[in-house]
Amino acid sequence: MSTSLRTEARRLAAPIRVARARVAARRGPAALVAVSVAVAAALLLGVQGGASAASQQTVSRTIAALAPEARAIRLVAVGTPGSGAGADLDPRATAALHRLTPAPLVRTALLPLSRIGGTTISPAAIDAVGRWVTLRSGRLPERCDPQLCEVIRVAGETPKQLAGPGIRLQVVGEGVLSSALPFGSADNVGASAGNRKTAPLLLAGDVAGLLSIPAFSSAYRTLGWVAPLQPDSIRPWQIAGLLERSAEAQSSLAATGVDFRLTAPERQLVAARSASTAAERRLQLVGGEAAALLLAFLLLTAFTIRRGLTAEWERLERRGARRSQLWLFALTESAAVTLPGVAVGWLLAVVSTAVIAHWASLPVRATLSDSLLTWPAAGLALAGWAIATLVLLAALRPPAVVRVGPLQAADLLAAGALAALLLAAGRSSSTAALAAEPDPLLAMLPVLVALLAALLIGRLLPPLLRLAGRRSGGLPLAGRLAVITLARAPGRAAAAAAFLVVSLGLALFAASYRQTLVQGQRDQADFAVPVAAIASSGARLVPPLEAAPAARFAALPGIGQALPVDRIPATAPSSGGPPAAVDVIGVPPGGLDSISWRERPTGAQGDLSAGQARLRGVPLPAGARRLSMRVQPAGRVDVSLSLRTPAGGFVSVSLTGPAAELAAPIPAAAQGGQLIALRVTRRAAGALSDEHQGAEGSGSTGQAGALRLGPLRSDAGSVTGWQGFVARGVLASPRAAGGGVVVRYALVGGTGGVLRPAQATDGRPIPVIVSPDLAGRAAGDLVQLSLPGRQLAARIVGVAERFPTVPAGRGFAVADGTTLETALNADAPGTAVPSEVWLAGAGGDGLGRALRAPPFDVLDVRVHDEELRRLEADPLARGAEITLLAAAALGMALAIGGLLLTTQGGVTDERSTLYDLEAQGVAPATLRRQIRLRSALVAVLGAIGGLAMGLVLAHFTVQLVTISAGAEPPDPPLRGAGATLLLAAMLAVYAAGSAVAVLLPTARALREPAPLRPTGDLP
Amino acid sequence: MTAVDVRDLFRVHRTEEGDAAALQGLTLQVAAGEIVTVLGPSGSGKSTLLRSLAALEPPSAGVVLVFGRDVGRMAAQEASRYRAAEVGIVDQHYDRALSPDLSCEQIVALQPALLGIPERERHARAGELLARVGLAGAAGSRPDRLSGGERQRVAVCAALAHRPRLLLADEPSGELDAASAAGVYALIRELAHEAGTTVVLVSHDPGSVEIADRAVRIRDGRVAEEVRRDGREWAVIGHGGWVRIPPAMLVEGGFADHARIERDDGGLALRPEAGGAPAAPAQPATAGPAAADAGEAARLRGVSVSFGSRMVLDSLTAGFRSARLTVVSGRSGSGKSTLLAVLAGLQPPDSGTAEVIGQPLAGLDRSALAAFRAQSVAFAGQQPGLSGFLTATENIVVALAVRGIADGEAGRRAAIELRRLGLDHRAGQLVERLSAGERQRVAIARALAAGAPLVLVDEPTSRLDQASAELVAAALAGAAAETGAAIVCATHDPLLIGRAGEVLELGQLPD
Repeated sequence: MSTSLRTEARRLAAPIRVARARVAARRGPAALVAVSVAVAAALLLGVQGGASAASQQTVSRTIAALAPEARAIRLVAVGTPGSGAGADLDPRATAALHRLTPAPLVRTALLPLSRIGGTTISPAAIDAVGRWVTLRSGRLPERCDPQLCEVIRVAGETPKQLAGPGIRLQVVGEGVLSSALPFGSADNVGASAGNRKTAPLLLAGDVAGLLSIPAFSSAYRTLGWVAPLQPDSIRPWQIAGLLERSAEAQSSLAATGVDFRLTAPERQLVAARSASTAAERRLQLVGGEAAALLLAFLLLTAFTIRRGLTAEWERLERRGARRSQLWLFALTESAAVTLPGVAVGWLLAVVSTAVIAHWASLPVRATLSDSLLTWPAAGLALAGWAIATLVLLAALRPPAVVRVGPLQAADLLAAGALAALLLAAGRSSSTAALAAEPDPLLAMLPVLVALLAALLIGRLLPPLLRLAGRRSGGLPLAGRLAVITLARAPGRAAAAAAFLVVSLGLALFAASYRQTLVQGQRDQADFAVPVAAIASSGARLVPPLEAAPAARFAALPGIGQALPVDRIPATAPSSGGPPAAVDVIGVPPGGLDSISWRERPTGAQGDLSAGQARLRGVPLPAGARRLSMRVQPAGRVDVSLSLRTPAGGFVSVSLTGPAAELAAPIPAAAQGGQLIALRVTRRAAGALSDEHQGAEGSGSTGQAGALRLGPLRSDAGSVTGWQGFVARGVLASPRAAGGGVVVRYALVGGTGGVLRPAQATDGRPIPVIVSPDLAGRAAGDLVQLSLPGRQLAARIVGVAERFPTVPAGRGFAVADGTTLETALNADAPGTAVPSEVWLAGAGGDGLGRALRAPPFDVLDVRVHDEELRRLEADPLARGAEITLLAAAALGMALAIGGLLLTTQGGVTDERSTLYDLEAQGVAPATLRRQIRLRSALVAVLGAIGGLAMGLVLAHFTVQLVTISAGAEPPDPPLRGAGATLLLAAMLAVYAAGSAVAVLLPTARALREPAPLRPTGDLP
Repeated sequence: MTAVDVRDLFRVHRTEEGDAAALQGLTLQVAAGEIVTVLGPSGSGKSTLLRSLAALEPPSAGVVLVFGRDVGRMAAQEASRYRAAEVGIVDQHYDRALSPDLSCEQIVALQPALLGIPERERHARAGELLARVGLAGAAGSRPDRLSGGERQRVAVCAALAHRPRLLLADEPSGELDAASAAGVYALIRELAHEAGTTVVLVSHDPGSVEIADRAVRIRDGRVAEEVRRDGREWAVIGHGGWVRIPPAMLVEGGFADHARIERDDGGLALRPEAGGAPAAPAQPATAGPAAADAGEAARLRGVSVSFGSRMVLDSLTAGFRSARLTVVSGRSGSGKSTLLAVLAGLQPPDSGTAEVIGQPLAGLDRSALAAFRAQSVAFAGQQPGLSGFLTATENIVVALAVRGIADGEAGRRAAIELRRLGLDHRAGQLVERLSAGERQRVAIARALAAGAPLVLVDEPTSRLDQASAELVAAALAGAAAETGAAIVCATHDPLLIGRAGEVLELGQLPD
């Protein structure tokens, strides 16, 4: 090293040595700064770690929730050896899968049904078969080659030995498949190898061995390579790469000409990744804001070491230290204070992430190595260190105020923040932005609001304080002095107030936003299940009221009322566009009062049930078991009766007979019920002929004529002579004739007509509450709905933004259930029967269990409390709530801490002012009072501003960051929770904390025997 | 060889409140190796001169040459190098000058380290210097382990460790007792002479003159007098064509505002204007009720005050008479401000008693003292807590509200006192727009407006030019006579001393 370089090195070492000596000697004052850096770093990195853990848990849960057969990456090749599906595919397939996952592969082979020794079997093989089969008898197969292939029988009956040309199979055991993973679902097995239900499945333990048997050498086969996915085997950040490599593998395999199919749970993984990414960003957003706030707190605490550093700077300057040496000194000292803070913060974050991972049953080491023990995390920590150091440096050596004409840099900054805020507010939904492409404006939202609030206070408060100071003549002395001393250093007061506004604002925002998310979860649960539980027809298509009567539902634990609900899919016409999908929902009278409906329109419910119309029918005589009537001419048409059972169901009874006298027994369920309608349809053969001709394009012939219908009688007396009945469909109005009526008909294809009593809904649109889009399709207040097989006219009595259970994007028309059923069942009896039963009541722990037991187990069941618990247990939701709670607590603590520092500063930093006032004759008690008053004034300003900022921020966030606690598009959308009580409670905590923060430093202040003289006045 | 050549140096401090001229055409030459003491009252521009010589402040106009280099026009980096290599600085406040976190050896070796001198060499130099001043044993100690005198000796070593060619010492004995001060002066002279270092030493302390080859006195930012080692005083005649005569000589010679210049024995003689009345001290037009009672308003008996190991007031006994301006004088650090604080009840004495308006202060607690001050004592300290956003009048009104005086009456009094101090045209002006000197006058007006029988004023002319200082001096003397108040003023400004009814000199150096 040259002499000049050595000299330069010594020059640079000198200020570093000074800084080192100072830091070693001033551990106390630096501790507060280091602690605030540590908390900021811990929060920022802890959020990073916690978000990573939450993301991992989401992906793990997604994988764990998959059906066992879907929880794998599966490569399947089908064909014959001639088409490339030979045993030599294995290296290529194995290599392709190993590029996607390091998991050990399961090899399988399925062969077509084969007849060996007179027995039809389904031969298959799984390598290491013992892992996938539970033996019931015998042993596992040990060899499989052209001479002998040992197999176990998984289903069916076969002889112990099967032999044929070029094959000899030995059944060595019997068992069942313990997992669907190797072959996928049972359907897959069937699709590959024919009907497995009848053919015994013989399973070898060696895929290559089975394929080497000459009898199968040219057989069509399905070869499989399966890589099972463990819940923790995929990290969120690996998903994109996995999908990309999967697509590449598919392309390269397709190029081989072999019929390869590669499947993975891509959709679920993408959804989990998307949700976790969005939630991670939100956590980082909140965590980042809190960390930014802590850096602002760092500015406050920096004043504790500023004086010493400034003095040392001036000493060095006077001794000829160069600029570079001076800045090196300041930088070294700042960095030396912040470094331990960042290190401790990082350590705290590692510990907290480990604890979170442990609680979430995630692998601690892997979670840490994915989050905090990574180069990006190290970079984040280093960046945090650099930022904290620069912030501290800026506080210690503040740059000169930049002015542009009459404007300060702060004004321009405020204008920029406002413009950015307006831009953010002008954007539409940010769901996609947060989920996929992060919108920096949205991510910066709290910072922008906080910055704007702080700058506004910084600019507006000083002139207001000065004005107040000049107008304080009427105040008591302590109050007057408080206002004047505040106005003397308005910048300081404004800085303190701005800090309180920002920290309290963030606390209130975090608390109210958390409340909004919690309320959002309740709203989501209420929306999905607006009562205690909903039972609906499941896969077995059993109507709920057939599974159990309403009374049985009502008797379930925690249930007070069972509400049969109709849900009928319909469409609404659109001028020019496609018809809109609509759910027509019928709710029993009064039922709407029992459900949770957030967007309930006021007053409309009364209109809905006004003019309620019950379905009128003709009672069947008590004890009647059989119905009969005379129909002339006989045999021209089919005649049936629609009966309503006493339980509310509908039964159709076909009247048959050898001649004109038709009769039918009354089904037991309908005995004691009502006659709803007589239905006339074309005879089955004619209808089929018409449909056939229609399909051929030759047109249908149709059938027209007149029927004379005699009175309907029962074995217990007359039922009706059809007087007062009206005709619908292809029937003309009936004309009385003899004891009955004559009605003309014109039947084409499968259409028919009904004769029924007049109903109150005839010619009157039924009142409905509709969705806004449906309201937009109405003509005036009338809307025409197309239901399967018929039209329904409805009159809009109310519009609601949403109706529970109807997903976003789908319209709805909610009607009184009784009226709806009357309108629909009148012309097509049985078309409107409750498809769901809504169970209103408090619910309880046992409700779900009871609904999954007979006789309800044939139904699909959704329980409100279970839905809510599912939402609450979502790791992303929990992460968001914990982070917001921590941010709220932190903001509150910082607000109170800031006030404490401000008050303490009022005691210590204004010694000369206090000394002068006391020298003028102001009593120490009055001075204490004025310090408290001004701190209280700042605290009140902070509370007012903080409340306003918190509410504005929460409003903006709810409007713009439209994702739920679980990071999904919420249905219904989030709505800012009122949270009046919560805010009041937080303000009360703030008031109590502020009282302590004000009283603590002033209680013992100015109680020395004599005032402390300012340094400059000595001696 | 000329080490320092300052010509027509102007230095204007620009502040938000307005411009203030600290130096106004100062001209001074110092020969290499010469020790020059710069004397002058507070605010006369002494420290600004030193900062200009150290290239810490650029001149507003004029030239500052040090060893032939124009330090006033140096770029920041060059100025740093110049300071690091050529200049040593000793500060009045050694606590401010010495880093509390470094050992004495580190402090002394710091400037050589900043210059990149090898560690062994700089430590040897530090050890040598500390041994020279008898502090070899304290090399590893921090300054707070040392006495004030020892700390200042360390500061002198630190300023000379890199062998500067110019030593600038700003009140090096300001916080020392007389014995320590003498020791530090001797040390500066000894070390400077050994190294041939040129010394410019700023002080109020006449003791500093004893080590100097030459002393100059500056007033209003200009060199006004020069005292050479032969003891003869010379008025300084600037090349601008005017001359400044010490006020005391003017009074003695019967000069008013004008003089006639005549040739006399190869020189110029000044003759007072015919009929010109001597500028006598202002007398009260009418004496107030208290004026007749020239008894003691306050008395100190055997008062001692010390700060740490340093005795500031030692068994002081003094009385302060009503209707009289009493000046407490003495060099910096002699305890003038402490004496005022004792009289105000703001500094309890370690021993002795203070009695004000017949009230022994010892019996009063802090609150009672505050109440007593509100009734009986007015105080204008060096750092008056005026509120910049209030007008001069409003500041006085607020202060009088503390004393229970209604705003109307307070406004009336404010008007009277502001007029007395020549500020009637500035009464409605915001204080933040007033100059430093005007603010100081507002603070004095505030004290006078209180109508207290004891008025304490600390360094009232430190920021004033001569005309304003004369105005204040006259106002204080007049107010004492007019109101009967005892006005006690801590200062070493000859103008005030000249107006004083009594002078109490503190901290005399031992013979």
